[in-house]
Amino acid sequence: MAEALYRKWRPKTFDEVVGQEHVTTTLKNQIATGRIGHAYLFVGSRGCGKTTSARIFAKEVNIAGLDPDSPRAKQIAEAIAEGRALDVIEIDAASHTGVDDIREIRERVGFQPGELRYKVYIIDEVHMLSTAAFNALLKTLEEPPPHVIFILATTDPQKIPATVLSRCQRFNFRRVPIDKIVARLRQLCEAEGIEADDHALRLIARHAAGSLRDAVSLLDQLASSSSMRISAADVREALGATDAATVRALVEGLIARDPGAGFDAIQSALDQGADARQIARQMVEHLRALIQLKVSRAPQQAPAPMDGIDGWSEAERVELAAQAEKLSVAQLKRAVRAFSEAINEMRNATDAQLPLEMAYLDCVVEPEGMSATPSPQPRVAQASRAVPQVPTGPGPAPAATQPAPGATPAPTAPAGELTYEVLKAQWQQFIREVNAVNKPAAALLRSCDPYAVTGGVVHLHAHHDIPLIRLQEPKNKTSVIATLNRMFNGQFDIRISLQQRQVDLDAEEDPVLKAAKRMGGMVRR
Amino acid sequence: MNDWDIIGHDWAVRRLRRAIEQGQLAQSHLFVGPPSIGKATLALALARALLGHNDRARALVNQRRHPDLLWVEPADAGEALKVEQIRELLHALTLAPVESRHRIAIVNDAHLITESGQNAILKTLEEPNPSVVIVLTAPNTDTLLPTIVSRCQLLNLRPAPVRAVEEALLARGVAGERAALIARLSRGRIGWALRAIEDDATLEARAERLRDLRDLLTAGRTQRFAYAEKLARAEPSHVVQTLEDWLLLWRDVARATGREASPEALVNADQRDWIAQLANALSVAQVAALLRAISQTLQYLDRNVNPRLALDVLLLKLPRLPAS
Repeated sequence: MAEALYRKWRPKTFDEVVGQEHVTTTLKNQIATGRIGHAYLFVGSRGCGKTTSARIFAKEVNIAGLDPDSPRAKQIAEAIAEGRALDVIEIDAASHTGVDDIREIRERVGFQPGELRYKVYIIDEVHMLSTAAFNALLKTLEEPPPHVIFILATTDPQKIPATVLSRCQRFNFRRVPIDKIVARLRQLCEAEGIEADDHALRLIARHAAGSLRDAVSLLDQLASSSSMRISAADVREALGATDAATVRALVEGLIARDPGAGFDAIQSALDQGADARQIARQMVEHLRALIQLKVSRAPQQAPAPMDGIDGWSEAERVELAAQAEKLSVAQLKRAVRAFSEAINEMRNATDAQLPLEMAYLDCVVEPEGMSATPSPQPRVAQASRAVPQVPTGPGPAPAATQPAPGATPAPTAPAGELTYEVLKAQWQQFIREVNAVNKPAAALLRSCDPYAVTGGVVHLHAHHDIPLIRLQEPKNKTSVIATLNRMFNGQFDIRISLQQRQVDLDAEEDPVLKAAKRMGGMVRR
Repeated sequence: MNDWDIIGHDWAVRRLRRAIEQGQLAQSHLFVGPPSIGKATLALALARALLGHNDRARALVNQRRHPDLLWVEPADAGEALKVEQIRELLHALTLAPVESRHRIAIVNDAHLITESGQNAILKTLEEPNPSVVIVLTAPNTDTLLPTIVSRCQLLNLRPAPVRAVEEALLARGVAGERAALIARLSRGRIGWALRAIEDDATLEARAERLRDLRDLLTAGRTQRFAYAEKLARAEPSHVVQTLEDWLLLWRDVARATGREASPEALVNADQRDWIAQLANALSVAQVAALLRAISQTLQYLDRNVNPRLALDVLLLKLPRLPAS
């Protein structure tokens, strides 16, 4: 059975502890000047070096004044590192939570250390002690015998009573910065003979979110399972992260407001073994970078978002900027929120793919009520299937030059690109055009409103179900589509749906409305 | 299928096998993944690889009766795993192995361990006895204390590709069309797929739920309220299953709006025509709102909202389509 790398390479001196210089320097100085406190509280998130520093401190106070190379100092250091020094007592507060466990400590505190200068009590996960246990500890913590030092370590300082906090010197451990994690991983790789790409180490460090233990564990796992060099692909496989192409496809789908594109990208990423949760996280990270790029005054200098999961390269920055250009801050905000919510929903879902897909769909679909207000961005991107613009023949439909009644300067439609605004402005003209080829279809269209244009598909809202049904008939549908294609110079399709309010109100058989009428009520629409 | 008799998860098996061969297997593991995906199966296979030196030992592991295999799970399904059970386990892990070189603890559904239990196991996870291997399983890492997660080697089991599930079903003699449908409906959860081929009721119940939905779309309020009343009285698991089936259907409808969807893109492959019809009649925004409404209702039910009310509201939000 192999010892975990993070145990094997647990730092043995303060200098080896990574990223906590503000703590280790102070502790070193305290030992050097002999101004040692009697109770310490180490606070910090998981894997940032609390227990390690506590053990090093226990060792250093006991060999202070000795030549570190002397046999005696080495013997002490070894005994403490192996956990067999009688005077360094490590207690797991999480499994010894009761007041009796603390009473036992209190009874023994009075005895002189057996072989070392100080008796050091390291109480790990101290937040798990019961209230009674904390209270039992108070007096001892305030005035322990001169040969005793307490070190309490916790990830959760909120759970520690104020009376305990005020009796300890508190040291806050920080999350370890990515660069320092990478440097440490590189060191371990060299020492262990592990080969790894820089990009792979960066991905590991990024994922560890400031916890060195998480990073080393992941490296350990990869080293024991990949045969040769650890590559970025290995890391992605282990994490279930997807590659940049999927994220790009999703963002581009967002820009084009194309529901299908996103579904396909998600499906293919999952089939290649990506994890839906990771994809959602990567999306949040990417969108966040886009927002930051948009709101920062000098985009070239915005430092933080450039540190994305893949560490953006120069080419990617250019791409990011191009994407940021095409999305509004409001859209981005909505998208970030949708994907973060998806991560939450995945917690309980049996099927993590669905929340991801729904988040994507929510970003693509214009929220109800906003559909009437034109957005500053082109509402819809061009049809993905639109034929390349070849201005042959009569050119753009004559309608483009005739201002529609009521609408002041009518927006002109560039060939092959149709937006909602253009269609709305030229709607009456469009119906007249249809009228010329198919009178019944034009009549039906008068009972419809244009609603949205997405990816080459024109969405119409029917006022009632007759146009809904009759416009689906091949004869009518073809002439509508043909006129669209001719007028707006592209390849279009139509989708017709009922307007929501028409669907719900059904006065004839609706029991609520019937009852209301009987009581003299009036139905207003 | 690979050497450990596990469908899918090839990379995970490869990883564990190689670690064992090189003598580098970590001592604390955490297997995460959605239900019925094969976490416990994989954990048992790992135990078999470590303890199963002969047929007798392998058989004992499979029956979970091997003396060096400690299997811990909640006493009642879905109930919490008590801290006493964990303390007992921690004690057992301090003892030497009985007949092999390892002691293996498998804590199934570790997310059901109480918070104090999770804290109690921390130190052992970090520095267990040299002979000990611990495997925890959980649906995802968010359900456990971060301090637990960071002490374990994490294996994130993802749904198997639909194709792999389909092939496994075909290998078991399931007819082509049926295998394809079950594989898609399983969403890569192999355990679910295997249960579905053994028990026809699973598929029949789904077909009925979809028929109900089809009827409801053309029904008026009176019928809808009647249906909500009936559904609200059913078992909670049945209600959840109904809504989940509907979700998947509407997901397909959303997929089918806009551009052409290839048949592989749909989960409910047998309902292709109906889905196309719905996609034609409704806008993307309407379908998206409906998906939201259904998943919201599922959350409400999870939080003990009155099921009758929640379902009433949901059914009113279903669009009303002209009877065809």
